Amino acid sequence: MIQIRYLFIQLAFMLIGTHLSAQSTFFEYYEKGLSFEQKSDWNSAIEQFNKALAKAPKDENRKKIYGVQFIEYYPNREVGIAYYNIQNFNLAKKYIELSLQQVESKRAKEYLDKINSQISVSPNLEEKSTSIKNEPLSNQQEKKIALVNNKDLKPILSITDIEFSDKNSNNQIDGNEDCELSFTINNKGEGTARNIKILVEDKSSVSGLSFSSSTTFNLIAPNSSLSVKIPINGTLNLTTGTANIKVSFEEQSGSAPNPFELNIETRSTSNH
Amino acid sequence: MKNFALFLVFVCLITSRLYSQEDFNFIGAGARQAGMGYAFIGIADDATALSCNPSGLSQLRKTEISLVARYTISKNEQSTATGTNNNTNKFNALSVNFVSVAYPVSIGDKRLVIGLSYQTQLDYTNIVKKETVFPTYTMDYKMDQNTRVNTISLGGAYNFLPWFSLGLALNKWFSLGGNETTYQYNGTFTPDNRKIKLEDNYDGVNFVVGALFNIEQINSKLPLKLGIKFFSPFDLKDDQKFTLNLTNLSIKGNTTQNRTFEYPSMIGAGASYKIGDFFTIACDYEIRQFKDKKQTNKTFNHYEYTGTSVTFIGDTTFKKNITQSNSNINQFRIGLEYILHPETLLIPIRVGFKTNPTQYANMKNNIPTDQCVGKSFNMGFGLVLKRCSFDIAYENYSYEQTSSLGTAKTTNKRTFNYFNFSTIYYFK
Repeated sequence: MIQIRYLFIQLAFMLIGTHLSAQSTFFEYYEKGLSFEQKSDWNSAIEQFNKALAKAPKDENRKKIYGVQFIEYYPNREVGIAYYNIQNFNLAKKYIELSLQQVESKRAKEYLDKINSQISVSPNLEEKSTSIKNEPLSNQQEKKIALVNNKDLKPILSITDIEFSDKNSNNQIDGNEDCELSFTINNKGEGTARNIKILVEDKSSVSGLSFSSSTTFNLIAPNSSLSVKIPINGTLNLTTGTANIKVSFEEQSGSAPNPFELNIETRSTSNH
Repeated sequence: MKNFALFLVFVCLITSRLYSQEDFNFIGAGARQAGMGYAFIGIADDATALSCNPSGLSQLRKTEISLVARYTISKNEQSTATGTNNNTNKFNALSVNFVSVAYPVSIGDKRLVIGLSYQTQLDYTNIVKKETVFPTYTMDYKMDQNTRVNTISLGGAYNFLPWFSLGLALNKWFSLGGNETTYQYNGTFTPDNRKIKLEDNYDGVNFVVGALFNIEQINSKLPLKLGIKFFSPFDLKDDQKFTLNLTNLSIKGNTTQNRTFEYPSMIGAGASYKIGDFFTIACDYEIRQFKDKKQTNKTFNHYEYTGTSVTFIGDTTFKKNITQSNSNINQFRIGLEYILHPETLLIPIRVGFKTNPTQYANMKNNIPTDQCVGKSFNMGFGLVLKRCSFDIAYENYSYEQTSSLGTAKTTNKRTFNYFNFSTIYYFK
């Protein structure tokens, strides 16, 4: 009898312990995701949509929230749109295709067209991460959420696709010219990369360069990648020389990728 | 003459309650609930939640207001084994049955939903018309009773955990309306025409505590909700004032009576189970511990008619069991809701059933034998729009009471057909 009593007490504590910090309902996550989306906080939106998907994985044009209250529920589509906006076209395409398989919507079709046009312009953007089509949706998404939320697992980050582009395509930074340094941060690990800080500095004696010295991204999910574009502008005061641009990284768990450096020639406007 | 007048007050007091529509099955409100046989303790997810399980309010995300009207068609058929003295009485009545507002407030990640409601809990509405023929005259008897005992409830619900909410409602009981009975005589050597007015003044306070467990939040594969509610015991008091007017003689008299009803604790439990997003099944069981609960009548300046004269008795106190069979009033309710969902519309359809135990008993030689238990069959449908919903429900409730005295047997069959009309408006 005493054993049964203890069993009940244990069960009660387990229940309370497990769920005392339990999270919100699927539509609360979904609404939060939409709210972050409106503020263009794409990474936070992705986090919320993924949590919604873990609880209710299917897009539906009428999903009951309570009573006779229904909402339009498109977490796959919206997470796809959020990925599109952080230029992860591969995941964006996969989620939006999944959304269209479940329920057709004009917005999903529009974004699929946008993604396809981006991919056709830059075929190398069609990348390498694990397919989510070949597994049952809920299992795959549950795994994905578990991975995103498991803070014990470490990310493995690497940098690929480093490219410099300038407006007049002479491969140097001219005075009064807008240029761009782009690269991809790949996460091949099982853990989520969090608070990825990108630090940019010019180690040369060249003056007149303008760029943001620090940018932070919230997270990169396992088997995902993040396309980064850093504008570098030559001002009217740009001096002639060779800029030595160093890009280094910080990451919350200490799994930052290795830094890289680029030497780019600069040319003052007076040399024209 | 005045004494006689006061005696008549009490004769009429007794007769006026004969067919009154007292139903101690305190249930919720609204056509959605009515359509589902009021099996709503485990659902409680709209603005009417305050009437059945206040904890359910915590599910609301938007401010909602609701309005419920009820149209009653009542029929009372009395029949005897010999076929003599058979009679039928009918009446129709329309009333506003429930009004509420629910207002959600966010507190961090949690939600507090505050509600305020008005509800008719006991409806004594009754209209009786009868003509009796005497050797030298006829008597037209008319009773028009419209007393309603209502509550104003202020409550709130808080979702402590996504799967667990608690709610509380405080009820202030009061009454509206009264009762007027007239005796009109036509012929020669008639008694004096008379009119009797009764004013009821009910008063009481109690509370209802509810809890809701949303198991689906713990295990998404088990879309089950469990609800419980506790209705606190209290004394409902009724100060009655009677006024008699002998119209031809211009004589007036009045007296008072204080009635106290011991209302017991009532404990209800309910469960609802979703099959997909469009189909819900729900059932409730509620225990109302009326056994041994008393009604006490204290009258002041009481007169009694002894057959040949009227005697002044003074103040008297009279006690009786609230239920004739001295039993609990326990109720089972079950209901289904399916929401038809064509392209642009949502049309809920509902059916329900409930047992309706009454405070009446079948009688044998004036001794109660067993409780009269009626039953209700319910059905309804609705229309859900973006900002509001409309619901209609029909309920057929009937019970039968038999009384036998020696070989004589009388059967009294009461049937109520209720039409409930609700609307809920959802704010942004």
